[in-house]
Amino acid sequence: MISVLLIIMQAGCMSIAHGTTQDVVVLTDPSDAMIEYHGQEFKPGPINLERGNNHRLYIKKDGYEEQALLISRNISGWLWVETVLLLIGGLIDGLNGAGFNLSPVSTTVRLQKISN
Amino acid sequence: MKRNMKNRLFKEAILLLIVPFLMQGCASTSRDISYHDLFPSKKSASAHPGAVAVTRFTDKRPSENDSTIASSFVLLLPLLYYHERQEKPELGDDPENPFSGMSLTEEIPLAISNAMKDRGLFNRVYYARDGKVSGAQWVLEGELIHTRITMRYQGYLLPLTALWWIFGLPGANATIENELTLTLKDAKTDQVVLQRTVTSSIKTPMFYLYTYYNGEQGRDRATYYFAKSLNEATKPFFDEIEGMKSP
Repeated sequence: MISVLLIIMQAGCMSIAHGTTQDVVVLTDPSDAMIEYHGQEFKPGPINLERGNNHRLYIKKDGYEEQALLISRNISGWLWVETVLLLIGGLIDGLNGAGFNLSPVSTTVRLQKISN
Repeated sequence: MKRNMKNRLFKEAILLLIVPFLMQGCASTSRDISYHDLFPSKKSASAHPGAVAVTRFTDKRPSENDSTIASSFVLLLPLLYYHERQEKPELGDDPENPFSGMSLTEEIPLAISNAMKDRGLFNRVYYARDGKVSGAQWVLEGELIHTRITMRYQGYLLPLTALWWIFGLPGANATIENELTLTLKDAKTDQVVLQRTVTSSIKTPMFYLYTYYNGEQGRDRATYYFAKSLNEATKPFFDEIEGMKSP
């Protein structure tokens, strides 16, 4: 009975431990470029993104060539462990995206000036 | 719909059960579908003057993704067969779908603009995702007709045939088919300079069921072969642009 309860309580433990989103740090060179994601603009720095999806970001500044940046999701090692040990937890973390990690975690994007 | 849901749940359950046995190479992989670094092309000797803007492609693909499961007996051994066709891979519900959250009408022109840049076909190539082509002398437009991935899994799905894996017999393969129409236009006059419908079909070698998303030259197999197929499809178009007098 106790072990059954423990298994249920541990279900989706990554959802509890680190949630379904992750901060990814995107810095730019020049440092005053803007980051566009789904029509919203952000200053360089940490951006909070959903773990369960790939994300395409655009880094732009007038007079510079726009750069596209892919933040991709990778299945977390813990999800494999959960899958083997706790089927319910694995399903929950797999479905809500908590079982994935985004990469790169931190990056600097260098823009190139548009030559005339 | 109900059958699809049942198939999906069944497939998820099978994958979850079989993963521990087929975990080789499950380190994180790069999933960028840009293919210019995967399949570097020879630099063009002379770039055409001016700039070309690659715009977002239009979507002419069929919308349905479907899957079926069938079973039969081969030499008295139960054999389960799983077939999945993804017309829009980004909508696939696999737990590790590398295209999840992406829009291929955006990713493919982006990949193509990177490849053209890499090959040096024009003095400047850029992806005009907002459709603004000011400053460009040429515009490359495109239509996605097919980005079809067909996967077939067989053999591993019952305990008896799971033994096949122990003997090193891979039992899955996939076919990746890309078909797109590419149109190079004069930005000022809107006159078509070159228009081609390009296709490519690649069948992967047989592989272990779960390695589809893990490990092919450091990349997941889905991305690797998708990029390879795109590269094959677009190469003749690029060759033709290279051979043209300045458009």
